[in-house]
Amino acid sequence: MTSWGMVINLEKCIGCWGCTVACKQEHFLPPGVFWNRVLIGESGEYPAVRKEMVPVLCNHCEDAECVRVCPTGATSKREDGLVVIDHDKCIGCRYCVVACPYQQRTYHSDGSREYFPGQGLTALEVLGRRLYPLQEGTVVKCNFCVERLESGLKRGLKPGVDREATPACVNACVPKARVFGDLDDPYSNVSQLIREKLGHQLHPEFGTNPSVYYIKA
Amino acid sequence: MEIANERRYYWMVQHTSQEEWIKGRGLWLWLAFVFGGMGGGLYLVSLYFGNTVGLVMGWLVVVALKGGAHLAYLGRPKRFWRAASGWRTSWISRGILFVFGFGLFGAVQIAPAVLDGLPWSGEAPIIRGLAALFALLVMVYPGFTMSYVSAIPFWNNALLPLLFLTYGFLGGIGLFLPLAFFGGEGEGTVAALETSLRIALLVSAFLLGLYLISVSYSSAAARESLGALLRGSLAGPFYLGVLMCGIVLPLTVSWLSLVVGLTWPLLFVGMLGELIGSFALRYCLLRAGIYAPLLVGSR
Repeated sequence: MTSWGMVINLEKCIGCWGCTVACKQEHFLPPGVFWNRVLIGESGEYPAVRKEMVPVLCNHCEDAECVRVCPTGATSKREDGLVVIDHDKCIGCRYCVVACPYQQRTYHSDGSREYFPGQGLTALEVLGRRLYPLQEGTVVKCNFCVERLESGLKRGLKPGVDREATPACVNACVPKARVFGDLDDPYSNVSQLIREKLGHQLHPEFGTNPSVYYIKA
Repeated sequence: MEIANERRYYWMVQHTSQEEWIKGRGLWLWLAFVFGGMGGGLYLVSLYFGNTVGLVMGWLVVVALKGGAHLAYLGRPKRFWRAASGWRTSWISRGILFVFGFGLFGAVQIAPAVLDGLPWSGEAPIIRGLAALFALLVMVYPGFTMSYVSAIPFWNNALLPLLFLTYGFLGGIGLFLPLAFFGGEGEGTVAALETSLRIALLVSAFLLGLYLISVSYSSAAARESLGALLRGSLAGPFYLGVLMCGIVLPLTVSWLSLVVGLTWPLLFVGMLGELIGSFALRYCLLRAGIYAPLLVGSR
């Protein structure tokens, strides 16, 4: 059984925010809505201060809190490991937003917000609202570019290998810090990286078993 | 440590407070939690003393005010009926079923007292029992809804549902007292209510203290929440609203009434303090919900 997951190499990440921008562009996300972020923190004391750049996104957890708390069944876990939202069922109660320990869900409240307030929508924003309309009053989040995945699989492409079938953030990553693949395949790129480079999950104590792993190599 | 929300660069790098359930339209959810507790409590107290006006008021507070506040909060209110389907795992789903159940059985229980010629009696034990059960569930389920959220350690506490229950009774007694005082209930009833109020206030204060102490032994994020309540941005609403108005003032009024007798100004002051305390407690609990940072060891 396929279980899609991602590995992010924290030593390679340069904090360029390319993943964030690529994701925004791929899904025409409005202002204030982020499906990919790069958290930047500092640790250590002078002179041994270290900057940490940690890309975060929906972890598509195995035991997702958002799936359990959803009162309508709008949020569900697919057989291929993706946690997806059926926006026609979402009532916008935001229990999932509150319950997510990684805070990777956003309530989309205002579809009329422009990137350039007072100047109207750009051509790209108009196109986005036609091609990828987000329902106001519902919760949105990363879906591992499910449209690219499904379209690529139908054409016999391999997600994580063929760019057309791979999430936009993975494609956009300049230092190739992100790798996408099947966690259930022990010989996949992601499985090998996790095994060889001691991949770890973010906050495993939350108990949700994320599908996004981090390595430092 | 400052909370990260005011400085977005530190979002989830430092402790970050939840905003969805208290800021902007989140205020409607706060009101819904308050009305549910008060309405359920008023209904139960009125059921005990057999006061029809109190029963109707309690029912309306839950069905109209709480229900209306929930609908005002939802992003897609016309789809509210879908929320009933997730009852196996979702406390919001269970809550909507409890409210429906209370609306139904509460109406069935009240109707014979208001309408003539109905073929059943509102005093039938099964009807009273079901109405009381659903009123109790309406009062307590917000506590479970919040305590289920393990992502917010301050809320993830077994005492929270109990706190909601006791504050629900407190609100109910507080709202019923004027009904009893001005509605011609006997001195015995008023005296019983006063005694119940004293007990409820002391129990609520004790539970609140226990809750805060147990939070202080929890995680760093929970201690941040406690710090916000006791020393930070929520100290004002907490000390003035929850403690002074919500507990000290009604207790003082209640003990004063033992000396000078219960007068309507004292009653009004006590009731107002209790109402403020009820609103302030849920507000502080919701506002103080804080997430642990995603980056460990970072600042």
